[in-house]
Amino acid sequence: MRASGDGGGGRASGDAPAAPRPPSRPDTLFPGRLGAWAGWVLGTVAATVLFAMMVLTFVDVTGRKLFVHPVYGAYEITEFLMGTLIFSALPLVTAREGHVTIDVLDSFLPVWFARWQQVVVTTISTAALAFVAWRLWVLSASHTRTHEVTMTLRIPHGPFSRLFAVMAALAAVASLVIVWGYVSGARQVRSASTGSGS
Amino acid sequence: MTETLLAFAALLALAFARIPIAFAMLIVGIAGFAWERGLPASLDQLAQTTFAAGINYELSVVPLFILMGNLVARAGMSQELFRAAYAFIGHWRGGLAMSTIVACAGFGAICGSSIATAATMTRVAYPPMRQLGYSDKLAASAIAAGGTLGILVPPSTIMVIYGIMTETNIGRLFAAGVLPGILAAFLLCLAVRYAVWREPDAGPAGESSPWATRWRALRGVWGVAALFAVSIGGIYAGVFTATEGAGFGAFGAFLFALTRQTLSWSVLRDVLLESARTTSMLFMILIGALVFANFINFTSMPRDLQHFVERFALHPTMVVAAMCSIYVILGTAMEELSMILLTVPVFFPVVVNLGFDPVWFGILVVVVVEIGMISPPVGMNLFVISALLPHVPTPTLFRGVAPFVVADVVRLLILLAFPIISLWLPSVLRIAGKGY
Repeated sequence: MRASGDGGGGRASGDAPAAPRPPSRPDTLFPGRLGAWAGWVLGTVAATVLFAMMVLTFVDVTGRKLFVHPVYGAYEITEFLMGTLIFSALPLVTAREGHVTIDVLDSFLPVWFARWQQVVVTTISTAALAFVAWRLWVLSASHTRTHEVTMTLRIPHGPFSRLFAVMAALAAVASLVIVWGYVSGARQVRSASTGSGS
Repeated sequence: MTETLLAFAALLALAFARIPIAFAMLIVGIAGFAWERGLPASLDQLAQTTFAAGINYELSVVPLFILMGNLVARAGMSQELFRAAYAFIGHWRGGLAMSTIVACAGFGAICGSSIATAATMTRVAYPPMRQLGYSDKLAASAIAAGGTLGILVPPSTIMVIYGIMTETNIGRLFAAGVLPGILAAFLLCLAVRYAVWREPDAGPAGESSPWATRWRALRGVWGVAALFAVSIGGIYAGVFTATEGAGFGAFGAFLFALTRQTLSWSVLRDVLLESARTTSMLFMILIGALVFANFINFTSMPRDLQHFVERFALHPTMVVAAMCSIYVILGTAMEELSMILLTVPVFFPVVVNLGFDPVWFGILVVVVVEIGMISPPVGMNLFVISALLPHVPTPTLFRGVAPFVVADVVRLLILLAFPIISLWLPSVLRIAGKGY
């Protein structure tokens, strides 16, 4: 099975001084400058949000334990940072074909078959992502209609479910571009691969 | 019952046809739920589950521990662990491979991922082993096997996810992993012993280190010890919840990486983004599994399984043993996280109904995942090693891990027979509370 598109090198982290590491592949949502730009923006958002989560947890805990002064509503902020983190990285994972896949049968299949298999499989993935995007959008409409908010900070749910829906839709677009890549032959079926998981 | 079996069959068919596991579970889950409860309910369920999983506070422990692991991997701490282990046992035959395993166990105490542990150790331990004339077979398989300790020795991504799914206290799970982790390291070292007994040339002895060097090397691991004490120690002591411990640990690891000057802006962005991508990927699997589990809970499957167990008056331990064998078999061909997410909703009620401690079952689950990670043909750690050491032929690696797989199965049997090994430390620490 495999996940990360960069052959284990991306996730697999080594000790910097001892081993030279290959530079990680930049994230692009789809070919072209717009795709590279979108990938950079999403990547920066995801990285910043994760960093913020770490700092927020640290400050909140130190504040509470040492100064009896926690960050007001840290719990709820963390929740929404989490959602933003997961969904802003979703198009990036999808664009790298980074979702965990069982590929034990690959070595038994001829290359021409593997190519069309990828077309079908990625189309199904695209449909699944688009479906999730659509349902999240519907949910967001109901969030907005009923003015759903969190208890402490009264953060509205609507904008966030809308953001998640848009991100899932972006992932569906990235997935569709991959389908087209396989159809047109611009994208080759890769052979050996690795990486993901627990 | 029939519809559930059909659903599982459909799921496996989709997954083996190469549809990403997350989407395969999602699709079958939506269809199955619609079959049981109607399409509108199913659509509703999908959106609610996705949104709720996305903004779940308890789950924020996952990215924080992943980040902590990725940061310590960059901070050069595995090097010091390896050096210390080598100073003590490197002069034995196969001692370098054993040092690798001990260092992996130590690294597991600050890193919750087996893959990160294996990858880091490959960079640290493989070159010295080759230099000393170790065979590729032993060197690569020792790293693959040692790497699995990353998820048994706390912190552990799998334990966190198991804990959240089953509402089992994560602190207790973390405490329960310590003794089995030590047992595991011991048994894996025995496997190395066996391997060098079979092939004495595979693992020549290193140089003996004087005691002064040993103490100096041991002092070198203070960073790892401090990080473990603050983060996991805080959880044990009840000062932190799991999420708070993870946040503290990640921040500590960040400070370490900063002071060791291993972080530039671009490296920091890389580490954060890498962790974010891993998180996103895990959450898609998690959401898929939740949607699927919601469907399973509406079927008669969990109840039927309990009736089955009661009707045949099976011995409780036999039931758990049977589950473990199913896991070991499934684990050779399936991705481990999705295997756990899929089966735990079905197995867990049965196990609890038999009167077993969920913490003990959680440890068994982690151990079977570890076995799955190094058992061919589909083992995550084997793939990581192959990717990092492309010149090692896969069949060589497959043959090399055999003694380690045997050692792991022996460990599973021991933990199955003696629950006290897992449950002693949590009971001594008296980690209070239920849930997360």
